[in-house]
Amino acid sequence: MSASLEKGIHALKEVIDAPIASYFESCVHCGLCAEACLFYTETGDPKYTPIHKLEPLRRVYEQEYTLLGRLKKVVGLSKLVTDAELDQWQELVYDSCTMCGRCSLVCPVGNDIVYMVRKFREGMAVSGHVPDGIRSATKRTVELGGPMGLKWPAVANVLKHVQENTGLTVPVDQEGAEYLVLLSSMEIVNYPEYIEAIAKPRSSRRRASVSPSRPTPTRRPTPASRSAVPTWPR
Amino acid sequence: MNELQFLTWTRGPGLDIAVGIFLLGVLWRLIEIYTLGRKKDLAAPRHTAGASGLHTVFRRSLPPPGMLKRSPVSYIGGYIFHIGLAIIVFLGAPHILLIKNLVGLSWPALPSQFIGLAAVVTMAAMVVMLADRINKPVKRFLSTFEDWFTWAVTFLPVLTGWMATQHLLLPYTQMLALHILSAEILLVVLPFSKLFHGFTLFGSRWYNGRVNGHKGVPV
Amino acid sequence: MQGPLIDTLARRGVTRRTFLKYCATLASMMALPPTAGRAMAEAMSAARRPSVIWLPFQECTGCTESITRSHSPTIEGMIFDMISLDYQETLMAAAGHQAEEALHTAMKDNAGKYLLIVDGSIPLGQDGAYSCIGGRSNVDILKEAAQGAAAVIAVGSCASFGGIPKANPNPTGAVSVSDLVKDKPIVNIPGCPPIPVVMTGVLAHYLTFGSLPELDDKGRPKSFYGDTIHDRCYRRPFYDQGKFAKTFDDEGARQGWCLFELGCKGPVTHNACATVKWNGGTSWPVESGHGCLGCSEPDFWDGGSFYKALSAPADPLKFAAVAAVVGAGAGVAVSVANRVKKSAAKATHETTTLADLEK
Repeated sequence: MSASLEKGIHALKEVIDAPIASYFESCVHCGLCAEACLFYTETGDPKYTPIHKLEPLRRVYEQEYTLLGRLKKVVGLSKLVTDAELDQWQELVYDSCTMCGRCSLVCPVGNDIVYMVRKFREGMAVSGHVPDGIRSATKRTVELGGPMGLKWPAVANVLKHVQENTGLTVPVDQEGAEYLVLLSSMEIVNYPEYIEAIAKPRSSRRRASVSPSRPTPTRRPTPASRSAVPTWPR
Repeated sequence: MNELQFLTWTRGPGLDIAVGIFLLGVLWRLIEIYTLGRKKDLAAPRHTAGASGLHTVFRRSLPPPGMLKRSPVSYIGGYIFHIGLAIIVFLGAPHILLIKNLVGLSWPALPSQFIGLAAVVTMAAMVVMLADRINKPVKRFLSTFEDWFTWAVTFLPVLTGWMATQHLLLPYTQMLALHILSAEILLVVLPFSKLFHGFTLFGSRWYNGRVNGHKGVPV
Repeated sequence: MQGPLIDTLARRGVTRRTFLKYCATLASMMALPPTAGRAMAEAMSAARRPSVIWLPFQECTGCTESITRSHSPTIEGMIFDMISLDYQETLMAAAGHQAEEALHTAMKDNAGKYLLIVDGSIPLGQDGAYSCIGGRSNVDILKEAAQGAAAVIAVGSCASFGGIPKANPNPTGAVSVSDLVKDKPIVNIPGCPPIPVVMTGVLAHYLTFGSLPELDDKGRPKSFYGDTIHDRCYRRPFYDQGKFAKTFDDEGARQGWCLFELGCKGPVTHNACATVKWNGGTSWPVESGHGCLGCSEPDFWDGGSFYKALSAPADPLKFAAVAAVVGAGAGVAVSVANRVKKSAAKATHETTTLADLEK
């Protein structure tokens, strides 16, 4: 259990870039992002204002990457981001944002708020402030192979039935395949007709392979995303 | 110090210091912000007509569908006072002269009565914006000391300039000196406050348009 | 020295007999006894014109030159009929000891009642040695003369505000009259020089009403200095329309357009030039095609170039280039520091594990 505030701040320091700096410096507090955010329009509560959901990130940016912010920190005039604050912000950054992007579309100065929410979540995650549901889904994915908790034998069984019912071949982990099919384990198990439909050959040259059985290492798994690549140990 | 000496100071050392701090601040802050750089997007870009950073720089000036009705004061009031400020600053004869002295460019001015009208309209719009910021829950919630301060720093030059030309409250020489001083304060505050959006909004809109254009979406 | 009223009347062709008849008629019209008529005659015939003493200090004599051009009242009318100009170095016939004696006699005989006119600033440097008359410094002369004056009239911008001697760097330590005289009413009539009829007008006011005219916060008579040149300028419509002469010889200048761009200080100058004008109403600087210098305002010599518009910088900018370089330098320095910090953060990147998601 190694999540910590330091890790969170560290992650944010890694991801803060020129766009984020430009966005924070451009915000004039006009409140139009709130008018686009459904969480605000349906509740009328100003705390759902999208740019407000990013306040701790803004302070980290100011204190780490601006000369005046750094000077303020040195003389003790800055309000440092605390663990309690991140705890408070968890509801705003996760529960109250679907990353629909409407705020990014309406901001008159061009701020891409949804991009910043996405980056902020990286810091929130390693500081231990992720909603339980997402964290346990990630845990299940890493440990069992899928967020739902399905194990490979169950999936393999369904594929076996599909092959038996249709007489088609469902190749798994085949190297050199032209097409890679990515489905969640739950989709395969609950709706085997999808696999059947995909497996039907339309041309002799089409060779498909079902999702790899080992995780693809191209990106760091974030708890925010449901794994499109069901990964489970064989 | 009598009022003519005060006026001469604002036209002399005061202006020198203010323009100096303004240039220093703008360059420092632009470099500070934009050299942070960003990671290259390695995905293959899509090409859709009208989807690019540059397109968004211009297109974002229009309210997206439905938004004007949700917050008419922000858009209408905002445009009126920005355009009003531009008219006063760039089409007022004494200001054009100042610019000519500083950078060598000049162009015809509008008659002074129009500038006076623009000043009144601008101030009215700014007062409406202030009232909106106080009354609307979201704006009030977001507002910090900096929001009120920058409103005042922007309002004062318009007010004092108008009062000088209309011979209100104080004798002309004093009012003119206060006007020039208030404009100098605005210059000094600008690079270090949210007023810097005047420079950074182009970069922000451009990044936004570029990222979405990469995905093939015009924003 | 001047004679009594009866001499003035005689000069104008009013005989003694006519004068006595006039006084008797006046007395009977007021239902007074015949003895009153005689009393009036005696009093009026001995009436003397008010004494005026003019002290010149650190000045160029321009104010004296200007007042002699006054057309209504004329200077002759003033000194022959209205006042007794008991000391004026440029106009008086006497010189040397005789002149000094005239001054002291006037001060003694009219103590508490004479009008003291001062032109020129008063230098304080080197114990006042920069300007002396008859071996005495201006400071001393002024202090002595002001004691017995009914009021002091500071004529010209030098006496009113210090004028050109006070301009940067003020090598003689010049000050204005009001800097030194604190216990007498002072009227400032600034201008370099002041308009002739403005000077005589103020004197005429005092002679007629026995009091000084209403003054503004700088001690200037509001009737002449209440408005700015800009507010009374006949070229104002051109200013409002944005029609400016760009050079002294271009089409705009020929058309008589506004001289704001050529440095006119009209908007910040209070004087009567635009209405009263000069040379008996002939013309004035703007009408002749040159912008107002602002000569009736304090420290106008140090008020920025005469040829730079009021909205233009008074001096060329000194800091701009250096400030830009320093700013760019600061930006680069922060940029480097930021890069270092970000690289360090990236270098210490740890792959997130499940354990990292829980506290």
